[in-house]
Amino acid sequence: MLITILFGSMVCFLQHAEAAESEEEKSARNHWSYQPLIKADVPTEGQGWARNGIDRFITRRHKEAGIMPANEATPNVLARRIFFDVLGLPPSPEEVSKLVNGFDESEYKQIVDQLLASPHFGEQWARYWLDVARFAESAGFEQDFDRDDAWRYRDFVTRTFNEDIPYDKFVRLQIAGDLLQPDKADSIIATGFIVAGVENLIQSRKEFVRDRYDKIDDMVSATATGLLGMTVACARCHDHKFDPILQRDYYRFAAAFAKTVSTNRDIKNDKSNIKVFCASEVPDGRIRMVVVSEPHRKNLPSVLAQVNFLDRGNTESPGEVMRPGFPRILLNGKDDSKWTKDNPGRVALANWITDTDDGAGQLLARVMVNRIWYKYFGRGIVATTSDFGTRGDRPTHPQLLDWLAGELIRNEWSLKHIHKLILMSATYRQGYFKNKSSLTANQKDPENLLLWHREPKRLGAESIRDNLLSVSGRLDRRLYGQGPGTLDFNSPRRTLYLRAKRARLVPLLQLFDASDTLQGIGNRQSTTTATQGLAILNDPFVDECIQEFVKRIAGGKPKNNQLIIEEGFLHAVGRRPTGLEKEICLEILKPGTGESRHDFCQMLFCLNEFIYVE
Amino acid sequence: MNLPILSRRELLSQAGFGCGAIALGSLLNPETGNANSVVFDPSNPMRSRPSHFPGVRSVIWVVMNGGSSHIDTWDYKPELQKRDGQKLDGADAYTGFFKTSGKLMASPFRFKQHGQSGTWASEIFPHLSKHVDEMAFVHSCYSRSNNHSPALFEMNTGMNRMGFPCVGSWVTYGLGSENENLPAFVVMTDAQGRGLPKNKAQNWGSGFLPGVFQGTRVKEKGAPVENLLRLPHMTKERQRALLNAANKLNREHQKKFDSQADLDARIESLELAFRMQISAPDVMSVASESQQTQAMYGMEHPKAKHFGKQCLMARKLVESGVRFIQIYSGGIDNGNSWDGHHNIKENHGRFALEIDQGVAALITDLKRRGLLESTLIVCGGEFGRTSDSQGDGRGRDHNPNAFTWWFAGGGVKGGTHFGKTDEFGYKAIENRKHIHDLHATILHLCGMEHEDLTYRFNGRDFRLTDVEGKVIKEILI
Repeated sequence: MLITILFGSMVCFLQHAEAAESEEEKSARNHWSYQPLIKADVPTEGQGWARNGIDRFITRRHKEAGIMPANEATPNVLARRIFFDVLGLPPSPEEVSKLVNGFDESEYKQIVDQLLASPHFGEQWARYWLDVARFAESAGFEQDFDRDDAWRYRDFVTRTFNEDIPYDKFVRLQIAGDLLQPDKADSIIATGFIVAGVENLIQSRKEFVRDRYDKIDDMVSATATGLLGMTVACARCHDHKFDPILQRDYYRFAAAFAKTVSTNRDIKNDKSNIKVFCASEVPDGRIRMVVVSEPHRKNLPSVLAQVNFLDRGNTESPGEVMRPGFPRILLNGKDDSKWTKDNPGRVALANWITDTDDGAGQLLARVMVNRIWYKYFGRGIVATTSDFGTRGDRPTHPQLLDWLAGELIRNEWSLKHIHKLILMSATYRQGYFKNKSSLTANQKDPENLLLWHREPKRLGAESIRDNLLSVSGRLDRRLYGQGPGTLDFNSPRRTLYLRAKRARLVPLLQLFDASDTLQGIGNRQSTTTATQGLAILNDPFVDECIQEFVKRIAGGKPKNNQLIIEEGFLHAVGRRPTGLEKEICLEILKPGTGESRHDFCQMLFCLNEFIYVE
Repeated sequence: MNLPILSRRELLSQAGFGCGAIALGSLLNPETGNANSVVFDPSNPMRSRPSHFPGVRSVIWVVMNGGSSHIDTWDYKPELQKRDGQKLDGADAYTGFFKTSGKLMASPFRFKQHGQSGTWASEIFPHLSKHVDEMAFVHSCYSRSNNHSPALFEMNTGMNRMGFPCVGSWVTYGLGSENENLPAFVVMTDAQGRGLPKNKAQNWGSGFLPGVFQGTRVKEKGAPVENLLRLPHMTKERQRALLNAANKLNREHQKKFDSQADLDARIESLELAFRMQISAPDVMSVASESQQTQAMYGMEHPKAKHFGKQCLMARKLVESGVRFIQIYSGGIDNGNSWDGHHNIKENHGRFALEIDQGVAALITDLKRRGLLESTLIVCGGEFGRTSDSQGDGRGRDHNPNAFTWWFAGGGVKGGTHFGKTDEFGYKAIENRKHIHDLHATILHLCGMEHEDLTYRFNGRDFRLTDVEGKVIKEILI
């Protein structure tokens, strides 16, 4: 038996000897995402329409296809759009009335600057990052034990986006903050990223080694797919079927996490002590079996904290011990030692992943600018935001993608710079198609891949809840902190702060396609179901918002119905009602009772405009 | 026989909504080169989809939560009965979660043969044993985990890690729903207040499939489904009136966006929600069933009442076109499920009493209504139990190396026994079948090729059966 195992791993080793490069590898090596950024000049096309580089790239493709872009959206449409996109919250009626009359270019720029400076910006974009980071505040599996201090990572992400910490630094800290800056609380907290995944805390003797490899696999997936759009995890049991990622690449990548475990630590923050949930390296070089439910159990087994090559991923036949290293496709011909020499695995990984000369830095930038693009346009330049491999979609605008990635790197990895470029572009500011020429565009490009107009987008689950709270005047805008207790869904705080329990996800959020937090998610679905309708009709939380909304627009002094309708529309959909709309609403309000006002408000929540933003 | 599948273009032209311009980009998996690809439209995710070949319409899965013992139920082992207390050669004390004695423990139950098939059945199933000629048994099942949580994930998703879609999600993803007024995938859990199974709602999660395919748990008290009932202060008439107004306004708004199918679907979904309030509570109540029917399901027996009621509800849901139903027998704690670590006699005796009559009545009832042909009943848990005792007690530890599942209904060859365990039932030795094979068989009976039912996530076309799974043809008609 032993001989078979040894022989098996020998064969494996020989098969994957470093020198040879297979034909598949050679051809996949030419795949676009593994190439250096295209150094394309910004096109000169787009005079009269283009406002910045983005538009010039977009125009070139419009011209090639013979289509024209749509007109700019009206001021109130645009105002509502940027508030939801940048902050995840609606503009207040005061803000609406300020913006509804229009704004010139410098005023628009001012609004954009103000929004990007709002602390709610960080909340909105942290929410998206937490999807990518498969963040939750419990461990999953049998008992779904709480992670009471995991929220600090959520706050770290929010602060990072608000303070526009360079993205490469953000990435480095998330991978290895505890090793890079062992005395800095935030840097330790940042490693919440590495350990955010599920973890089995009730293990059996037979399986704790396999559990360990699953945990490492989770760290590999989160890092490779989340940060690089590389499906490295597909190579756990065999060489990647489609991408030039060898099984050995997988285990070399995994070896960076060989000693990494999740831990609860007491650390110093300024003068006080705080508890954090973070990554750390096992001090004695051993990984122990855990049975949280029976901590008193003695003589639990342990194994050396190392990663072995596993033929077919089978933990029962461990092969050679692996040293940290990176996929050959992204080494620019260099030796791993450029990053690994004298460095612990995770520090090496952090160095390589942000190295724009020889490592994965250029791909890192591409993936992130594409994620931002996806959030603004509802579709990434690469539609498969977490898969830039050969099975993923190809970029619709490769030069634009690379130009944006270059912009990120050239501007000291400032994400706000990218946000601003997008928000200031004419491409972003387009309305729904209105001009005649767009009928041709609709025939030529019905999917709007070339971005010749703007389609309404449904709000994400969290924004729908925040919108309900905000419109009804209930929203508690406090920033940061531990947030309401477990499962206190009725809390008026922003949805970002609700505890994410893996075994008890919030039903209303799940209905509207919130992440299940088990694997990193780059693209959320946006489904439409009858159970969503039931929630708007009968959910007690929604009803509480309706009742508060009634008080807000019809409480206090008696008001006539005309005024109630005006205010209702301004709050709920950010515009004044049309004559026809008023007529329909007057019908509901006619009885003049509290009930009729309730029904009017609920009707506003049933409007498509309430959850779709143009 | 392969039925033709709608092409994308056909689907779009049949999609209705008067516009035929669903955003192509939102349709998943169109280019896999697989004729059986699921074409999934997010604005109508539950649209009924054709199967790859004819199969059952619904599945009911009775979960022996906690891991029932095969050797005390359906896998009769005379040698084990004879050699109680003797050493089990080759015993591995860590087969289960705790530690076993290595000493054989005979079943405390008597076995008798039943039916034309001469099936041996334990005395704890007096009602079910009358149906053995309709049941097909796979005695050689095995799984890869000896620990509830990963084993439950494996039982449900094929993988013992988290994050993968469960069988019910795959089936509803593949086939959509036959009744838009009801959830397509319904889960029932212990109605005696003993808790959800271990892993709780994570067991019926949809993993990387869209969230709409996750199971909906029907609750025992209050609204059976979240938000199904109007709040006390609201009336049907007022709700209708406000929805009428909303419809008018939404239609006005729609004029500007006449090619946005998702906006239209949203309007429809509100109407559907309104109708669901009327039709769903009826289906989810057994009050209108005759006393005779209720009695048949064991609802007059205080210990079996709750489970009988769930079985009866399952029949009603199947009648209404619900696609997939999972009923968990037992709750979370070891003593409150089939997890008989300490005393098999007491534990299995108690739980068999709870489910025996209800499940048997389900078979009878479906059959007499002509629904058994179009329904698949599956019964099985996450693992079996050891042939040696746990410690010094009269219980058994987890055993992933051997267990029995049975199938009944459409496409199943009744009275079949497939696969074998060794003379003590300690390990499956003949025609060993992993969970992947059981899953492949379920999908096959639903009319789907398990190798073709795929979903692309992060660069990979995932399947319920991963890269394995063989349909167990021997138990099929």
